[in-house]
Amino acid sequence: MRRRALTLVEVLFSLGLVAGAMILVVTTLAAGLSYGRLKQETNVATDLCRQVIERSQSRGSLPAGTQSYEGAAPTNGFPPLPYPETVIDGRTYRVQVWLKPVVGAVNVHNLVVRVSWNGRQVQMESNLYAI
Amino acid sequence: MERRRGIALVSTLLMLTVLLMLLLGAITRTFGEDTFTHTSRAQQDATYAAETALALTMSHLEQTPAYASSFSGTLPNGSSYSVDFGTGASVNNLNGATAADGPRGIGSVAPRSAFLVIQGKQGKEVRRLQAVVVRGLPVPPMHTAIRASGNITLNGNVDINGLKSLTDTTPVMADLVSNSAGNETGTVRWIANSGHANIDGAIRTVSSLATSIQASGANVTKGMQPGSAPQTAAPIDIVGKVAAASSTAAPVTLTAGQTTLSGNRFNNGDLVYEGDLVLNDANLYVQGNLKVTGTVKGSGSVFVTGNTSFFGDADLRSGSEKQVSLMSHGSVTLRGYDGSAYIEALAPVAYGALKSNLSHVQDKLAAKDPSLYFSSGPEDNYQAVGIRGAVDAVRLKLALEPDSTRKEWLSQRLDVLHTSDNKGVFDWPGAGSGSPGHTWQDDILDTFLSTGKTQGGLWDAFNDRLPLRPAGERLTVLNRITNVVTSLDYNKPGTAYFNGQVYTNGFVYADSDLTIIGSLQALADGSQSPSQPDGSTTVRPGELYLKNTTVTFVDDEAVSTGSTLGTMALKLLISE
Repeated sequence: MRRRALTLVEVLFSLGLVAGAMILVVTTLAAGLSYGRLKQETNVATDLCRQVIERSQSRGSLPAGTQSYEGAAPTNGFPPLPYPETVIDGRTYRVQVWLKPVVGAVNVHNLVVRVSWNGRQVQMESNLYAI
Repeated sequence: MERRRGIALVSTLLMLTVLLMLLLGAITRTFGEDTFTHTSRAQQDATYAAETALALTMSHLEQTPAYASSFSGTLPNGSSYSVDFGTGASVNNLNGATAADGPRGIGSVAPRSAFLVIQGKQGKEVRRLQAVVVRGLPVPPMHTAIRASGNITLNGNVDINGLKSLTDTTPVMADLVSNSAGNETGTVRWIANSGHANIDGAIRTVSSLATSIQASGANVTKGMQPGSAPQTAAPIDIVGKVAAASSTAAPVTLTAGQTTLSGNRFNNGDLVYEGDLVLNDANLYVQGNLKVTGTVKGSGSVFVTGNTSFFGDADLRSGSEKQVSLMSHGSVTLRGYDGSAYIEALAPVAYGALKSNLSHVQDKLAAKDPSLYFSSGPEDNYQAVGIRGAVDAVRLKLALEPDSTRKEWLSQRLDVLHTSDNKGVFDWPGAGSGSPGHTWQDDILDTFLSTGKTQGGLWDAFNDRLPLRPAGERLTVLNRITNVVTSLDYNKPGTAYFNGQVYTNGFVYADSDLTIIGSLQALADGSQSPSQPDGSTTVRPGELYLKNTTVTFVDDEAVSTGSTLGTMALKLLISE
């Protein structure tokens, strides 16, 4: 009985396919991991925005006029924590807050919260009724 | 011969298939998470859009209590919002005295509340909210009757108690809290001054010093609690709020006698008003000091960057459901009617003569000077003629003033001295015939002794008949006459009421039988200075000094319900 070996062509072709597939898989998984981490950071930043908005809302009163908080010291406890920044999982998130009265409305404040990290940012805004 | 072919390619293809499936799984998961993140963010944006609509609606309702117009809008981030006042949607029952029908059924919208149906939308995500809003206070709810960052001094008769609400009189604790960090003796103290102190709650100090509370003899139902945790509150930026109002609020225009304010009103500079100030759902912003000599009443809020002084009948409620909130960056002084200042400005010469004559009489009464008791003596005519003449002169000036409660009150006080039909104490109505065995003057004195009623001829009767009265009565008559004459003081001991919250960065000083229905907060921020509101007692920022004062604390959430203040409060929020 004569047993025939694999052809060189078959072996080379198979190795090529496996190598290509492995590269694709590894690349995709690496990109997925990176993207997942970014999503996680984005979720953290969104949650930080939400915390600032909800804590501002629960105060009942907000500073009057147009205010900009880009690292400046809080006035009378505003903006609330996590302003001006917080560190989560070794990552520093910077919080900036802008407040201005809504034209044509009494005691309504437009609140914009931006959380930035590593050159990325999330920004949310809401209008709050507060005296 | 059996030929066995290699299986490398087949095996590789199978392996590749598995790898591709793993790959697809990873990709699907990543994109799934991405979709979830986007959806979550969109839902959050939709929620904030709905809350924007809620804020705008509350603002509309603040300015227009009967507001019931649907509206919609879009935020810069693309999310949209809408409020529907159509059938089966939002119902404004703020002005209603009875429950109204709403989306949740017949009679589901409580009196003096508004039921709002709101929608926010971002992309495909929709968030619907149902909210119940009521008129509320412009400060966060305060669940303590009296709170100070400094010392609290109680003087004389002090009653502090609490109610669950204005409509539910279930007692609640009314505590006094001092957040003062200094370990001082007497951080909270009561100066008895022959009075009583009933506190239906606890006295709490942050200081753990047992002697930080000195209220021996006071009835404190929950006892003294030194070493308590501080009760802090978010500060209120009063100066900022006044500054913000400077560009939007209408100016204050005072009219003689009585001024009624509604809506948002701004006054640049000190506002001194000698007349009746009526707040009709008004927010009054004062860039300076506020001093009102007269009656303040109605519903609304007062924001003052300087000091605030109310002299007189500060009847800051025109109904049990109305209230005024006072936010004063400077100190707050609530005192009786400073009538002497008004009358002195009105008729300085005549008032000088009146004061001189009254002082003369008062001094002689105090000294029990016998020259008072002779009918033919010079004092008789001197006093009566002098006082009557001075009263007439003052009355002439007063008649030129516009009608007001202050004018009415002063007129009544002058009537006690002298009237045109001779019914005042210093009038002489002419000799009459007395009852059998008595002169008409004895009859006047008898009536005075038995009823306390003053009438024309009393002073004359006192002069003529006191030495002839029974020995046991002389001192009584003298003392009572002394009391009558002494009480003819134009600095009226106030009977002020304040319904609502008082918040200041300075101190609160009240000394005139003041009744406060609401709560008091004196939280110093370092911007104010001590002073002597009564000319002798030094009160520091963050301190409370209450003399002869009653405080009835009402739980704020309940207070909010049914009030007719300008600002709104969120009572209930339901996310569908």
